[in-house]
Amino acid sequence: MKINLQRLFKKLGFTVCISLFFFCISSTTNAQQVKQIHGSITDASNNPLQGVSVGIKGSDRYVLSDNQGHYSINATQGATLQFTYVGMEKKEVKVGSDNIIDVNLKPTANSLGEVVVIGYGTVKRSDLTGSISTLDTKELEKRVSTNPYLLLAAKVPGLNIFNNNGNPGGDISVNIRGFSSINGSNSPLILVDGVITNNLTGYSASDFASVSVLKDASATAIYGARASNGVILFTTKKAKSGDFNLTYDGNVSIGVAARHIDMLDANGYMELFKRMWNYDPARGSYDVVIKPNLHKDYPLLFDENNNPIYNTDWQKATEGTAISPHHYLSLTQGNEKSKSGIFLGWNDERSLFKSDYQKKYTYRFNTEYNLKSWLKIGGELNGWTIKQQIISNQGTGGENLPRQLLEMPSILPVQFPDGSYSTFRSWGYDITGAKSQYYPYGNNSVALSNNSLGTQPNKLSDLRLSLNTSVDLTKDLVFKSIYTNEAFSNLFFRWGSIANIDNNGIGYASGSTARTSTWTSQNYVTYNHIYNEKHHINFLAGAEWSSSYTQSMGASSSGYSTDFYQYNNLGVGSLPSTVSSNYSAFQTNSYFARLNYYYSDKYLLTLSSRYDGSSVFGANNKYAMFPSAGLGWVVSKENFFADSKGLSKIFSYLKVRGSYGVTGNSPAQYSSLATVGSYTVNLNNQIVKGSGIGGAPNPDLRWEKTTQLDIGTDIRMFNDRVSLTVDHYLKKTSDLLFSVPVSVVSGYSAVTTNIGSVQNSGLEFDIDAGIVRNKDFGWDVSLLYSKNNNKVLALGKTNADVISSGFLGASTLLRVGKPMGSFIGIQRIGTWGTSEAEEAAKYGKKPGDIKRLDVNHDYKFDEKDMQFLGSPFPKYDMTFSTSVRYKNWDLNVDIQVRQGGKVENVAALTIEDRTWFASGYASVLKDAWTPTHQNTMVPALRMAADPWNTDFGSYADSHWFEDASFIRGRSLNLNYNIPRSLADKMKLKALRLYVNYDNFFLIAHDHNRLFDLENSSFGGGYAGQGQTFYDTPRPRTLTFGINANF
Amino acid sequence: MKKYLIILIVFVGFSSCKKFLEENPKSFQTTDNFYKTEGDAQSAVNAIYSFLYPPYTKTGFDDLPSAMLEMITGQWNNVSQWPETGYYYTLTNSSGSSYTLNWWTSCYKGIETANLAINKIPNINFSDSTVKNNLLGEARFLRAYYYYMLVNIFGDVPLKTTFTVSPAKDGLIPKTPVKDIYNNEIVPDLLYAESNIINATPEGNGRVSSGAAKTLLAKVYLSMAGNPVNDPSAMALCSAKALEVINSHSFSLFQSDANGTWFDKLNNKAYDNKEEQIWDLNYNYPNLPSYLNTYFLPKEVSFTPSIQFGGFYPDSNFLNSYSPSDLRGRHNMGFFYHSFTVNGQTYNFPWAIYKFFDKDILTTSPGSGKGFPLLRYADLLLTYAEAQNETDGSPNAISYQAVNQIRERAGLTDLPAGLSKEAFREEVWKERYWELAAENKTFFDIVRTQQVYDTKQGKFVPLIGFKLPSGAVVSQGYLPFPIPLSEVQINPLLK
Repeated sequence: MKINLQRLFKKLGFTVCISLFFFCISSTTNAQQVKQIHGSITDASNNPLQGVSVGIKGSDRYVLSDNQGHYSINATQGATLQFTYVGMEKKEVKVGSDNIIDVNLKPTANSLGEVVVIGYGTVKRSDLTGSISTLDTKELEKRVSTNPYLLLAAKVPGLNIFNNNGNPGGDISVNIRGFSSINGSNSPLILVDGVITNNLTGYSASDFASVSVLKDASATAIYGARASNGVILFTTKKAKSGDFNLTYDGNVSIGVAARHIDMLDANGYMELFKRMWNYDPARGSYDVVIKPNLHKDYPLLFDENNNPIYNTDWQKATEGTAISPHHYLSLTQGNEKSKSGIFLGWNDERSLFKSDYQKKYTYRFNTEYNLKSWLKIGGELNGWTIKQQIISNQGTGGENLPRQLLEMPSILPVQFPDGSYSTFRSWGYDITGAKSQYYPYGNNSVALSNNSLGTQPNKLSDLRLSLNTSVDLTKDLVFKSIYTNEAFSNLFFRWGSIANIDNNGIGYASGSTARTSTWTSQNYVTYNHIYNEKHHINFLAGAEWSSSYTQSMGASSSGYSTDFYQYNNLGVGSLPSTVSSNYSAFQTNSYFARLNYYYSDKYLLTLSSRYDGSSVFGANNKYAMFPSAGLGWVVSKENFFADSKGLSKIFSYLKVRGSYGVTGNSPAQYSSLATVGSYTVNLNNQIVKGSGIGGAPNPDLRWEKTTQLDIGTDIRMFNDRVSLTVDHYLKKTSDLLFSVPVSVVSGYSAVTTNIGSVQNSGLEFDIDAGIVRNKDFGWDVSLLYSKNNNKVLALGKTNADVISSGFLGASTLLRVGKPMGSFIGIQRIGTWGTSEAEEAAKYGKKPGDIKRLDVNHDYKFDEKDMQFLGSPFPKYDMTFSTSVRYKNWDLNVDIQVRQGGKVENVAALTIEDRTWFASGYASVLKDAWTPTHQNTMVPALRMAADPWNTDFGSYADSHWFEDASFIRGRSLNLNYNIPRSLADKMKLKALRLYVNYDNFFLIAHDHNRLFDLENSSFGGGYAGQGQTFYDTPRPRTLTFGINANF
Repeated sequence: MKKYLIILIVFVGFSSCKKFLEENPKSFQTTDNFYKTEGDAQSAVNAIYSFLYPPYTKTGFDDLPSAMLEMITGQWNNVSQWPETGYYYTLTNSSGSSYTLNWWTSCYKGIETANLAINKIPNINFSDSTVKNNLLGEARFLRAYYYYMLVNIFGDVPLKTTFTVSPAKDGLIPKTPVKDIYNNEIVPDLLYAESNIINATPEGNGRVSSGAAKTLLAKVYLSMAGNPVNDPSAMALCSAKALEVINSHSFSLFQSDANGTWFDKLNNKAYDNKEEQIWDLNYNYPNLPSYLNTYFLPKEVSFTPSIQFGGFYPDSNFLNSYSPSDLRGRHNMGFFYHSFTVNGQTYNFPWAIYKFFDKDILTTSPGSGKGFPLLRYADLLLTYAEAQNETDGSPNAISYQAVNQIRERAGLTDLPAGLSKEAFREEVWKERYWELAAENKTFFDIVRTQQVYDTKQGKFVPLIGFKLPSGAVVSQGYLPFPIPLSEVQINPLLK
């Protein structure tokens, strides 16, 4: 059978040759001494190169080399053969008398020839019809981070990466070309080596060789029902052929607080308390009622003269220097029969808070065997373990470390003389003048940060096994199969000590664990052939199955009489409160195909489609089709262009391209089913379980559908000195998963339905200019720009506004015509003046209280008074980068600019509007209302029991919003490559020393009420964007590193 | 061949079947695999109770939906910082209010959960049909209770007794007149409940009992005798039903004894579901805590481990309306308090509500395990007294005894004998104001009588024109409360 097939293919090949022969005969009329040239093509390490284009200069004819690097082409003597291959320098060889021409290609600096990783394959950059941005190892090495995402931050137009706080390891949210889902995910699909994963952050940033960001439908539609939010393909470093190669990369980072927020000092705090007390003259004067008693009541805090003894700067007392080491080792070795590689990483990232850290251990072993000339089998085993503790995001009250950092009064010491830690309970008066804790929460931030009030270690680990097989069925037809199995698990414990005042003096402990297991099987054939030396066809067809399930369980208890057990014996707690476990699973079943057709590398066509089936869709809609098409025209290859001296002198390359296609976004598991809700009821002090109405059924539930049009151009000018890529896109998402309100008389509040529509449209460009390109000196500058307009087009059946309540009450909005998650609230217009007492009284307010805009003059505040307060999304993003190379030195600087957008700052409420529960901003004494300082936004200072001056819990207030624009020194990177001669002396292949300065400056427009403006504290949903809650301060980080190749 | 064998193995190995994409949830049930066993039936009935809690659940700092039923009584000064209660205090509440939406949503979700149980349980096989009927009785009691709340708060509302198949369509039904909801739904459900629920009292199980069904039925008849149904025959039914409860001797008033004052028994969770408590909303500390008790802690001082809010304080006119010798009035730690001593320190503050002061909150605050009284024997006694007096034209001895029992334990003298019908009626009404204060009962009296006790004048006045302590004056059409705006927008039939 095998023989027969081989014969068959031989025959087929013969037929093709014959036809080629005739074609050649007919097309080359003046054929003289046509002979068959053959040879082999290798790369710098003498590995055969498959798919090298071998063409004849001045003609459109070319062939591709096979998997042994062999080629054969008919040419006349004297003709010039051109060898072109992605990522390699073009080579030209004149055909002489010899019929054998072997060539060795060198890697190129010109990125047009680069291989770009796309879905289920690679393509030459010059053949792309879609919008794909890539970063290679060299680019990735310009950043130092433990989180792979941060290598990409502000590096790709249209890819928005937010680092929400200064936690070790980063707290990242990502989107590509804006938000397009209300209830579904807005995060891109992430693949590592072609397989979907949710566990990217576990990899070492040094693991990656390249990253492709797929933005338009032509690029993403091959991933079908999960590709609406774009796709990011991460490719890891692999084993290489060649001698034993050892590379070590190590660095140490030193992080210091980037910003200090000025809070009241001890004297300022006592002045604040005085003003609060004196708010109500009926209490008597502070100087008479309170001041004389300070020492008597609080001898540990006040001296005999009733002056504060301590003056604690909680930020300085709590924040330390974060020293974080990083090591990465790679070992590779290979020959024509096999290749293998070992990659090991370790880092220990620290926070400004002693309590917080992330230790990451990564390992990868990969190997590849060439078993037969037609059969390759390879595999990779990789895994990682993260041990981390992030205490600073815990809770929203007295346990929240960054909050306590700002709210603790400066009159309290870190520790009292007896060694005990102060808390907010250590001090206070009630409005009768009696000694009383008036704010019962508020742990000491130093105690929180040194683990004495509890710990919460988290261990995460992942193990991934991947096996791949590649079978060359014929010279052009290759079958590939990849099977991957990934198991992720975590084990999280939390313990709060008895002294932690959030635990009511009884302690708390909990533990939870979860495991997700996923397998994926991908199988596809690719056919790559050139007909008539002009028609290049690359066809792909395949199938993919995957299945994933997650199991979890957790338990907690409280009521401890000792801190001995921490979280190690939950059964000891006298108040077991919860146990839980959960199971969820989903399966997918997909078929896909793609056709690339290139005519003379001039006219490019890509058609792709995926037929996707998913268990999460409703019973009536299990499968969906996601097609796309892309067209490209390399104008610079046209004769009229090449012939025009003016044009070809300016433009070395000019391509225009356009694409259109459909992608999807899946609902969550089980969202189409009628579920039975679980209820907890207490009857006669017995907890009993109930089962009743749950989720409303919708068997018609299906994916969200995004259609995207992208028009772009890739231009090289002035002999490739300037390159420019511009994309304009229009992305419309319809059939949005939307929780449509129904009459509660039905027993249900809402049903998830496919209704509603959102649009993102925008412009991206990336301009790169080599200003100086000398041997010893080079200077490049680049500018990235992206602008996205997000707009809700339709909502439910009625297009009625949807207002979401966040931590600060109703503050975000979905409204037709406005960006998703826009802010809405009541306009603060100032404070009531003494001359306005009568009018203020109609609102139940007094002079000194907050004055808000009553739009309809009905003397109450409700939805009718809510005003549009802006969008959380920036107007545009820009990154200015420059790199300077001088001899062995090079310097790279990224400066990020974000313009527009708003941030809602919780601290503006809890610190400024409710000063009684906190210390105050240093500015509050100057800014707060007094009878002689009436024209202000900050209300009169008062005690907690006095009438409040804020409508916290109902509506957001315009005064809580900050302009989120900023200019950030993202990264500054200086490298020194030691000279070859010195390296040789040190018996090294290469040695690079580097310094990196991250977050090296921040210019912002705020009022010094926030540590940083780049943060969203309430998750990835549209309604939580731009809302901040005391995020962990982000450090300014200086890194010293060494990269050695032995 | 080898090449193709590899491909074949791969494809056969992973070829999918139709079942591959079916969802098979394991950590929750779907309606397809539920309502099969006796245990499912029990669980389905338990769930109906859970919708009683939301109006009594404090959210945020001091937002408590049940407070909306108290502001109209004129007994209170709102001191909460959250604006919503203030809208009811100043009578500026609107159909956009979250409190009315909370009541509406809780009641209809409770009704739907009951509808599911009532319609599905008959198809489940039970070994003992009395067990099945008992469960149906509980479910029908709770459905009737939710409708009783709805008609009193909102007036005419949609009546739905079948379960929902299509959520988008099944709720779009018109309003049914209050009278029809009482006659066709509430009364039949309660009649079924009183004859099918096995337990006579909640003692030992905390569930609704036949005694609770009779009590609620008596209250329902009393409401039906008044506005807006004005059914004259209902008074006699009320009197008879209430007498059944009295004569059952299943319940009794708490009395002060060696174990504590009767006030402290009302506040003590050990006395929940017992004696005077005909039906409590049951809580559990720490697993299902109540935050209501913390809500009423005076905000000027702090003697518990959490922030204290005050909620609403008694208006001085209301306090003054109590007789000086009334232990429920200006008597520290009766129904109210103005000082409290803990750990040797005495805290003084304005008069605040002590009625819900669970002593455990000194350590467990903000949570508490104390229940909230939904039906109390004192209410039943006064219900009987009023109905008997109206039915017979003058009070009989049992009615006198009913009122005097309550007066005696409050430290008051008995009512003078030989009161006229009108005089006795007014004494009963006033007793209801004093005894049932802050328990969300007075609102129902205001709805049925359309009168309010004006504590400043010491007399009952028409609701329309009544001036609240905030200075706001009740205008025509203030009650019933408007149906939530969001519901009217979805279902225009509710306009």
